[in-house]
Amino acid sequence: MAVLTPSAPGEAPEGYASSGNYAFNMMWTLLHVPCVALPVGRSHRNLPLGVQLVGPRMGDARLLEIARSCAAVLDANAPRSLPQPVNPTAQPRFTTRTQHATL
Amino acid sequence: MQPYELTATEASALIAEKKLSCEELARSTLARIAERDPIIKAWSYVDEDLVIRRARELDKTPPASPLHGLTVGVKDVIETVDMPTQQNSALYEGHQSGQDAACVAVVRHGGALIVGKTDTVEFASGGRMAATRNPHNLAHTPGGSSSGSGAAVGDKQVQLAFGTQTGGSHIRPAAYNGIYGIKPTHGAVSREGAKMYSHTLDTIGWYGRCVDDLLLVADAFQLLGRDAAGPVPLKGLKVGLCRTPMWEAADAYGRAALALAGRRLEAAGAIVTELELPDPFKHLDEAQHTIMYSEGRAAFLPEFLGPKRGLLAQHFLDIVNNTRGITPQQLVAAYDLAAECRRLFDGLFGAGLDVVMAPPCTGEPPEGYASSGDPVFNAMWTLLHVPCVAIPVGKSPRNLPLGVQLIGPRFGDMRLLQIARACAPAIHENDTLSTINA
Repeated sequence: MAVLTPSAPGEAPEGYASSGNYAFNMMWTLLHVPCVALPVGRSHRNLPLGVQLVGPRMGDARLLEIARSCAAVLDANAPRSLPQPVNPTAQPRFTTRTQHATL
Repeated sequence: MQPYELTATEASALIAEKKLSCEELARSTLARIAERDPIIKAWSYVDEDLVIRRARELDKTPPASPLHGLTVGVKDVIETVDMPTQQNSALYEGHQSGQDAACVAVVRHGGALIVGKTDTVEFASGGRMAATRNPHNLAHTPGGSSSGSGAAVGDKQVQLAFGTQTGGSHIRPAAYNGIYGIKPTHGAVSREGAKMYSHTLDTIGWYGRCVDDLLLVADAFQLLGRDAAGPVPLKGLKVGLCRTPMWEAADAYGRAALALAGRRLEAAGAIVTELELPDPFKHLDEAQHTIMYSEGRAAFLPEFLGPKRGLLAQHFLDIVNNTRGITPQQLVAAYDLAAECRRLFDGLFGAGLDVVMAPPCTGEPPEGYASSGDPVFNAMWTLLHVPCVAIPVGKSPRNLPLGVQLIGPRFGDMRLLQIARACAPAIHENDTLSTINA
């Protein structure tokens, strides 16, 4: 079991004034949990896009094993077609189960 | 009175009034060290020429802060740009880093005079002991791992000194050497440039000869809440006298010192009541060990893998090899227990409680130098990340100092120092160490 979540808002910003937004990272940093970034593909402007897998504290070794399994189907270095821009309101095009964290 | 005998606060005022030069204080300090170091062995490095040169430079420079010219010792696990940092380890013999640790830089930029490096237990952890002796009774340990810093201040060889605490390395030596010390809230003072042992426990602290000395340094670190913390009246101050779950480990003198401090505070108008900590606190000592040894694995891995591995004591091999068999689940549980108890502890403070008073050590410093004493009365507070201030109470018939510690909620450092300032004259009667009979 790992959490699949964005590693960045999307494309790397144009220009050098900003190195990008860390909104999708700081929560995990604060939680002290291990995160593994994985490339998924590229935008039409040839900008890399990725996701991250997040596991529980001290679960680094298992998370890396999970990442190894996932990487093969997510992207790896295999050439692939460019994904179409996603409509932000659209539902994910894969089957998923929503889990609500309970505290 | 010789300049070396002045507290940091007294010297600061004289230097500001130009009644004392930095060089005069430096020369007096070096003479005291030269006289006493063959016996006390507090220092691992002092370069007299360098100290005089820096003192003269300070005399040519307008004061940047009240620390101008004050004498500071630095535990030899804390980096200094102009002196070696040897960790009391054969691996680091002659080692000199490229910059000052953050805490050294802060006081140096304030004009403090770095006098030298003080002996330490190897890597502030285990392995080799410091050569240092207790200045009050040479047959006994000064405590550790901040052995040299505690003894140097306790023997008036220096006014201020930095130590570190991961288990009980700072507050215990303060008690053993009859001096004042603060271990601030974890993270309130940057630990950059001190040897890493446990990144969620390692805390930089400092020693002084009175609470005002501790406050001078606290001001330099610009701790949170310093503007809000004014003088605190002793009358009506609510003190929670806390024997802690480790009380069985206290000796008769340690128990007598806590009781006496409680009676003195009561006589001075404070409201002293017994405080019993909630049940989960009983497991904090074990949790501290779990976290310290687990984080220590990562910290000592580079030395373990390096070409000088053969010079590492078994203590460090055991840590890296995880011979205690600590599991990831145990480590996470220890972190979670600490988080729970931190919330519970901070919640105790308010209308009914201003400060906690507890033993700073088991009692008398042990005889001999094989052990620097038991950290059992410190590890829990280190793990809770709370600020602790050591205050001397008296001494045993063997002339061994005895003390207490005051403890506040996280980031209440400045208020805790103000409370300590109000309590110290009552606890540390007449500024002398009167004999306590157990």
